[in-house]
Amino acid sequence: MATLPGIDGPRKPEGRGRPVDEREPELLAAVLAGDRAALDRLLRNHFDRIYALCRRLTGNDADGADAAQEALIAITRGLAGGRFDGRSRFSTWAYRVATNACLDEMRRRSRRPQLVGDEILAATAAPMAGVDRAVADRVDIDRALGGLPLDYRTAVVLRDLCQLDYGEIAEVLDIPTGTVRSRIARGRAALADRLGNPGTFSDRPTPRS
Amino acid sequence: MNPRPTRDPMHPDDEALSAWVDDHAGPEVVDHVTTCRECQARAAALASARDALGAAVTAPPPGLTERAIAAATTAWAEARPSETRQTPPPVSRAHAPVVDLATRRRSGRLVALGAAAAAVLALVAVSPLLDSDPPQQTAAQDQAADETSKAGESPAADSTGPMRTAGPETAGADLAESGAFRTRAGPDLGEVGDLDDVARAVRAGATPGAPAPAAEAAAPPNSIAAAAAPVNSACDGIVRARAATGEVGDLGLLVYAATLRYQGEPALALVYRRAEPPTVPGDDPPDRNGGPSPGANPAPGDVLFIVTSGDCRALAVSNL
Repeated sequence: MATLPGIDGPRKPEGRGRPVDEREPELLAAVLAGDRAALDRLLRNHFDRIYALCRRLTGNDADGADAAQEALIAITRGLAGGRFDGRSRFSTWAYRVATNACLDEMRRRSRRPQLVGDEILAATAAPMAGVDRAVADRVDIDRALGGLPLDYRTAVVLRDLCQLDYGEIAEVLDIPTGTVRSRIARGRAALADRLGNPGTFSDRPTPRS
Repeated sequence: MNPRPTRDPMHPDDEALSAWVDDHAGPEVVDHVTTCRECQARAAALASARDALGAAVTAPPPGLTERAIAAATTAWAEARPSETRQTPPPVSRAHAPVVDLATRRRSGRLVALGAAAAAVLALVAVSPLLDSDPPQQTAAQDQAADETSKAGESPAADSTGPMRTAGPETAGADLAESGAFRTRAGPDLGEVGDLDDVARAVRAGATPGAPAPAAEAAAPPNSIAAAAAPVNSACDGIVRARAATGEVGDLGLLVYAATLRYQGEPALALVYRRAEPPTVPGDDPPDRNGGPSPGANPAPGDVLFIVTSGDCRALAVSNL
């Protein structure tokens, strides 16, 4: 497919951030055989991405760190307990575990007072003047993501941050691929609006709801 | 929010454009986006949302990685089954003892059983030296094996898929860096509760026409076809990794694989030739070119592993 002017275009799976280690099957075999050094390497290979996933889903550093640590513990317990059956890629399984850990963390967080509804929208619309652009972007994205329904947020984070394909996301979230596609589209459209780049229109029909 | 134009059903919706961004759109959407400036702009907005999310990745805070990995490693060590958590002390490869990993806590009784088994196996190991006619027996075995292999040739196993023991030549190149070799698929050994019985059954099952004693009641005699349950090829790598870091050392060819239930658990019996086999008169080296292989039968000096068929957890290891 040709890339059009002004559009970065489709991104291939080998894009940034996708952990790739050709020796991963060997590492996994060694981990399952009890090799602690192999476990250390396996976890290091994936931790940055798991942290990024948790950071994006929870919306702040502290909760992201807690969720990432809980996710790593859940992953290693799963490995020790034989719950990784090798039918999917390790990263897909790890993201599933991490996503669940994040959702647990967010449930715990939900007991604390939070901005809701219009307050979030107002905060989202507030300009970020006088701060470093990168920081402002990050805060903007946090706000924009935080305003998304959790279903949309999870789908776009797994796709655009973790680089999972639609089928893998469907497996992680245990939903049909068509639902994944719809959630990603709605999530991106809402993000584009909230980040101030709606394109020419954004209330286009989305056939599935 | 800015006012937006009325939706136009003639344009692809956001879902189609988002799919276009991900290279999942159909040809009609691709054609439309190529010529429609409005949709190009909308697709660019969706792509920018995608890129913003991917670009704003933050590194973990200082120290978090180490803390998290340390906590996870501790949790892993605590969650591992106790029988596989302990690393056995290194011993001579040529004299690896009979060790039942699943029940090593009952070490006193096992030591006695192991000693008895070792004595029996030693007699078996020496018997070919005393037998006046061993070459003919081996040749007969190999001829029968070759005939069986011709009847049931199968392609090399996919390295990512299950290894099936539907025939005597199913190991495939993924199971050994040395290339082609033969793995004999034994009959299902049935329910076996004792390591010595497994060893005897493996040895008996290796001889065509001699059904394994333990399999007689639980499985059809000589039921190589009955052993067609998928054998998890990952177990080969796991066993090799564990052996290399433990008491057994590097393993050579996987010469035999059979299914069984060991002490109630679905399991695999895997027999390996040692990477550096002890010099035993009459123990011919295997033919690695795929031809009739005198070394493809389990033989004295080989190592028998019993692992769970699901997660390849080591249950027992023994010398043959």
